[in-house]
Amino acid sequence: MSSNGPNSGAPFTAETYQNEYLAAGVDTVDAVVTVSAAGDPTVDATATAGPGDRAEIIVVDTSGSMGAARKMTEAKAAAMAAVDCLDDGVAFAIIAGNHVAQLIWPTDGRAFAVASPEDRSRAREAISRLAADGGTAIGTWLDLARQLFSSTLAASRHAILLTDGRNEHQQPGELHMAVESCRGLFQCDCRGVGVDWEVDELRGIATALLGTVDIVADAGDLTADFEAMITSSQSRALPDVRLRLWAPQGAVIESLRQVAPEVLDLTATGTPSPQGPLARDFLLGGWTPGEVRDYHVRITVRPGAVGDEMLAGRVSLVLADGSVATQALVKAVWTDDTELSTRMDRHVAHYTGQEEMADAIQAGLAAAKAGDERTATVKLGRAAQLARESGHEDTVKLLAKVVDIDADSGTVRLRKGADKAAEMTLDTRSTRTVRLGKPKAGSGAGDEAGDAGSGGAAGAGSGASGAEGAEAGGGGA
Amino acid sequence: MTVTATCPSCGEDLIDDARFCEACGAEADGTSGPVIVESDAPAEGPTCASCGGEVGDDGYCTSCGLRAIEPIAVEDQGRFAYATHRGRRHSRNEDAAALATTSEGWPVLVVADGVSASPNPHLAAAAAVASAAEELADRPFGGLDDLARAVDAAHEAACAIPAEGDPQWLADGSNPACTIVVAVAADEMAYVANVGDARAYLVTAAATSAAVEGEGEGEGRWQATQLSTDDSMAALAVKEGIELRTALGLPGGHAITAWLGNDAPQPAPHLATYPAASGDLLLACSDGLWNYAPTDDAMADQLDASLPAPASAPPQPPEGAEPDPAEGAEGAEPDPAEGAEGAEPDPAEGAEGAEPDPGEGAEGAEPEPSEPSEQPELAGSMAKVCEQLVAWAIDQGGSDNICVALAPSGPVAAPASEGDADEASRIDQEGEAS
Repeated sequence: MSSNGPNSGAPFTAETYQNEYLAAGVDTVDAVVTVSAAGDPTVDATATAGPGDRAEIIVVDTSGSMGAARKMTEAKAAAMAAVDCLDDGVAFAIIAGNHVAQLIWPTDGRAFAVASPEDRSRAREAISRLAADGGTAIGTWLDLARQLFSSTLAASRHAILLTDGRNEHQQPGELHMAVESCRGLFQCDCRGVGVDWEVDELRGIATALLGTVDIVADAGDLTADFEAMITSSQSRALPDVRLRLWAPQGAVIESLRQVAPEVLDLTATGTPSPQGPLARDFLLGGWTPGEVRDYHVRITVRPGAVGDEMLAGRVSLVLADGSVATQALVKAVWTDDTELSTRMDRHVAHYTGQEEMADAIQAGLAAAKAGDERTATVKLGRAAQLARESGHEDTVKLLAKVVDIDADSGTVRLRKGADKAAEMTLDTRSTRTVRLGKPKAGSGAGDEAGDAGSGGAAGAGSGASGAEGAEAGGGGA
Repeated sequence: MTVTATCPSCGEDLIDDARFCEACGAEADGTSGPVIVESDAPAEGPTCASCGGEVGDDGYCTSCGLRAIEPIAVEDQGRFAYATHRGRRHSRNEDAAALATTSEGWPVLVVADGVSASPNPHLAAAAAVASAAEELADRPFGGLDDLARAVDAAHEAACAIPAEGDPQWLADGSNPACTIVVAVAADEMAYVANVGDARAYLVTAAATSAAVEGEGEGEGRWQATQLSTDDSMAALAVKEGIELRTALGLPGGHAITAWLGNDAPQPAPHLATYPAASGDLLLACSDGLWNYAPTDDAMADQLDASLPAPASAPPQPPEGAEPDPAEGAEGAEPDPAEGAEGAEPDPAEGAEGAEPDPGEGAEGAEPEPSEPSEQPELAGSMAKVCEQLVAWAIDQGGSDNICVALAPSGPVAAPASEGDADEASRIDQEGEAS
């Protein structure tokens, strides 16, 4: 089913973690599929993108509000630093956005400039002339980026979008339409500077466009962040990877979520697959060599009879040229042996908890904003519990800035007048997850995942070795 | 499920009130898809027994996803054979078998059934049959003592299997375990040793009286006599006077009371001998087969369905000479290895044909017991018969792994003394072979 990457020569490997044993009549199959990109991208040179095969667009908010708190100054410095990071030969463009979008580099009628020492210097000059003025219509910025990307054959297409406010000069529907028409065309990392932007709005864009979202509360941190985003984008040597999920006749793909490094619900992004009516294709964007992502698959199937074994799902990684790089099988075996069917795979348990944690944080903060203190307390309390159980120290720290956590009882109390930046940081980063450590590592962050939790999770630790091995056993039986 | 605007199968938009999806043919309400997914290639490969779809290279149906039933694994040694399969309800085959010949050329059948409630039972079974066969292969056969030694060797081999590493088992301190039956068909005598509930039968031509009772005349029929003794809760209940099928239906009726492996004491196998004649057959099997034919009569019926009618059924019923399974056993059979406990075939069964040679009566027409090919049409069909019996058990539900081994009585290979002993050398093989 899977082989380990470095020596196999495959650009990707995939591995399934699940308890495939189901009690009679059970129709829900859960599995975590870990997908790893090979450490050396040259193993499949045809699928990798070099500098000449990349296009970058940097979108900088130039609305009037950017004039405050040195935001414009820092944003210009960050954009210039990003340009300096571009490898020679990369196609790039700079968009200035307020209530309209303007292509400020290149200005000679081409969609993209090609990075060179000379060109970078002239782009910096153009950036230096930006001034804060006007409103905010993010959809128009995306529309322009889409037009530019539509004109390039570059396999790897990436944008950085920076804003400091909400999409005020446009109807929500207009932004939504703009985002939808960009789907699959380019990836977009979104950054909000300051505290006057909407987390949900940027998260919606980043999720649809397979990018990250984060807050840069202090404009002075923008430069480092932009440099990191460009570096990360340029390391994505495997562009346009798709995940193909086959499920049997009569089955329903309930959900497909990326669960590490962060939660990203891909369910609604599926499109019909060239493989046939039983498969759906999901865009995953570009991959960095050595990158590892985990996916949580949930499929409902028509239950088989006790003793039946069913292929409940087949996860394939499809490269830009349409070839299948690797596959992982999700199985269902119906048994009347409750010892087998009641085990919970620790990976599935862990990520189910991480997904619940992200949901609880977002729901808790939304409730707090709406003045529903009771719901907020319950939700954030649950989030704190899940974060502690899974050893998610970053989230525990972020939560502690928004709520007071009683160390003994585990209950939380909302902090009066909590820092808005802290709330937004917690919200923005709520989807970040921790991966599960090796069962025997002992010190890994995720090792406590199963121990302190609910009854279901308590069995996860002991079920782990079985479920991991079950994969191998299934193949050999 | 409720009707949705998109096809639950392929996601295509549905025409209003559509019952079937135009794109893939699935039912719009998702309750059942009558659909065979169209394949570009002509569907030459195997088809799914459940939905008729094409079975993919990975063994799963490309339409409904069910794992296809694999072919039955057959080990065909020409004159003798075995067949085995995981059945329908177990995800792996924990039965194992081995074939060998003694230096006299007599067939050795070994069948082991891994105990599913133990870790790595399939490995224990495979190791046990290999060791038992090795112990007997290509050596002069010395009777029941040799069988006891073979069982000891099998026990040691099972004990050597580690408990770790079985993905289907939580580490709970238990150890790999299996049952075993070892049977040798010598010229005039069948020898059997067993621990647990794997069985051996002597299969003989029935006196025509059996057929006469049914319908006057006709072809001869087969008769099966269980030579092994079950170590099971059901067998204990039978001793108390409960009918066998009832006993098997009791809670825990199938639970075994003796087995091989680290959690068992040094094995004390049931040892039995039984007169056999040329033309008789020796059958060894796991409970995956006999569960569906628990009595001798039921097994005989099944053999009638799988085997050609015996060539030389006697025209007249020799009075009282045929073994009668229904009768009590006083069990005084001729016994070359005195002193082995439990030397009678089975308390529940009858060695009522306690005469030195019941086969004499049953097979009266038989001139020379050591003549090798009394049933010539059977000589090359042992594998096919094994396969048919396994297929029948799968058809009955396949609730357990199934293993069947079959050999004729008497030599199946040239005696080693006449030259190349290695020619008919031992074949030990795990169930999943071929």
